[in-house]
Amino acid sequence: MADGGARSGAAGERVTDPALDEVLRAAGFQITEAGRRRWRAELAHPIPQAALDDGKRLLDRARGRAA
Amino acid sequence: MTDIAVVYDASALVAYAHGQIAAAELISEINAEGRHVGVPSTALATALAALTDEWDITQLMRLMGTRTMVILPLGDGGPDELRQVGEFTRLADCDLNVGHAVAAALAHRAFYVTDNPKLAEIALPPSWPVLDLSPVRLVSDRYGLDVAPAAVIEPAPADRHPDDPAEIPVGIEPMLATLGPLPTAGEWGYEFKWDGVRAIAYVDGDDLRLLARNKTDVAHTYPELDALRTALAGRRAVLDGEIVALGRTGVPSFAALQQRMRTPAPTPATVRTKPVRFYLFDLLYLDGTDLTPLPYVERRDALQRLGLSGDTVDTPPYWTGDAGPALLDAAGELGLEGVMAKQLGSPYQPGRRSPAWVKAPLTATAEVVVGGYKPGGRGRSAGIGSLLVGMFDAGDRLTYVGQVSTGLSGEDQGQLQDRLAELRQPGSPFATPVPRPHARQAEWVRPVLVAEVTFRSWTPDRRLRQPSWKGLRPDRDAADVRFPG
Repeated sequence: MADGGARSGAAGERVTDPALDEVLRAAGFQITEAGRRRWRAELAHPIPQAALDDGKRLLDRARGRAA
Repeated sequence: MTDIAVVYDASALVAYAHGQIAAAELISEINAEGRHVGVPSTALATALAALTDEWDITQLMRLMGTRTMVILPLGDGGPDELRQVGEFTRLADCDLNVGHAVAAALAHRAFYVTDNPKLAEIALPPSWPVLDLSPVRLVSDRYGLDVAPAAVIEPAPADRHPDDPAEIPVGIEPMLATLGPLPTAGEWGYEFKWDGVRAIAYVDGDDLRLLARNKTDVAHTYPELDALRTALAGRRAVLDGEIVALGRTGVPSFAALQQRMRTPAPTPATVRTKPVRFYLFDLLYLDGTDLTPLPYVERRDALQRLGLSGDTVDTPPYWTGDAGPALLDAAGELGLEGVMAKQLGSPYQPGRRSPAWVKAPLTATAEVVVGGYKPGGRGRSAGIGSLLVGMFDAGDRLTYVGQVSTGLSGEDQGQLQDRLAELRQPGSPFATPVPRPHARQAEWVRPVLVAEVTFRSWTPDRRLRQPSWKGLRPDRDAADVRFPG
């Protein structure tokens, strides 16, 4: 995290988990396409560049305070 | 590198465990896109600590076992990462789960997901996207409704000072709504109808009084609502609102609130595990100025300008224009009681049941007086089969309106049995005859307990059709339970 977020797996790895639907159903959720569509639209908005720059500055500053 | 699209903080995980559909829909969408949900380990631990129901914990842990969810450990980036998290935690009012989640969202360039955006928004850059799961915020997006904008009129109290010598008013009777279909013609503001206990808060510097409708001060019953006094920072105000507790689905539930209503002096553990919230919807007085003569829209504007929006004390939005019918649909979907419509130009009329406020419930509710009960039949584990209930008529006679035999939980029955045993009397308290099948084997009680029931409709002979028990209303006086006009 201090270095910008490397965790695990290959860069850009995209894997769906077919077991998730059953887990959500068992928890009592009835997922609808309409419900997901709203989030799809939200996620399609890229994070503004100014926010990304601010975020990097904040992370660097927090690390700088630690140095 | 795993493609983490969003980071869930503890409040978002708890929202999922409590059945908040939006929290699950978002996870489903991220999985469909082949991306992942980042869960800081501290957020998961915090959420698990907050959950008290084993079933909820099991569902959350099953979710965490899917490949969609990625636990983000604390500290495997070394001391630098810990100092980063510490810095964001400090910004987030020392909430470690929020500090960790903010650091993770920034590092992974991911959306921040929460049911309580206040703390995160302090620590995140100003334009960082926060996906807010709280139900009342979601409605505007889902139904394409615009929250009413702030009025352009300057609020009257803007220049008032806390040192204003005027006495704060006391004992203001709450304005009441008439029951009816949702009005759409004319200028109306629409709010959700909350399922809780109405209270008027009197805040005068260090003093907070919270008067329920029977004038009982319940401030000690809900000590966490002292947050209102803190938030007002020395201002003197009288505010109208509803004390609520959130149920499993994240929306106000009267059943959840009852556990607190029965505990006049709660322990810190009870406050922590069964918290209440105060939803504010009107401002009656501020720093020496009586706002009750002002139009609703101006009082609402003045209220919103106070910025009382947080976890414990909140100012839910209201909607205007043609939003009413869609809001009623939304109330149904969210499991809320209904919608309140308030004329934008109407003054606050203390103690009056005014046509300027209209209560449009999805299910009718009524307050009734318990006048008797019948023992349970075979197969019931507890001793109460049904409750015989009534209302007072214009001549102050208790009139029988029906028997309630559904909706009584085992816990309800256990508590009612003790109360009813103390109140037993030899004869029926009803001034009107009780039908013989209902009266057979009935035990009669002094008519002092007030209860709330839901029902389908009134019968022509003034009986409740299909009444179902909701709970006792210790905040109400039996003498005030009257037939609706």
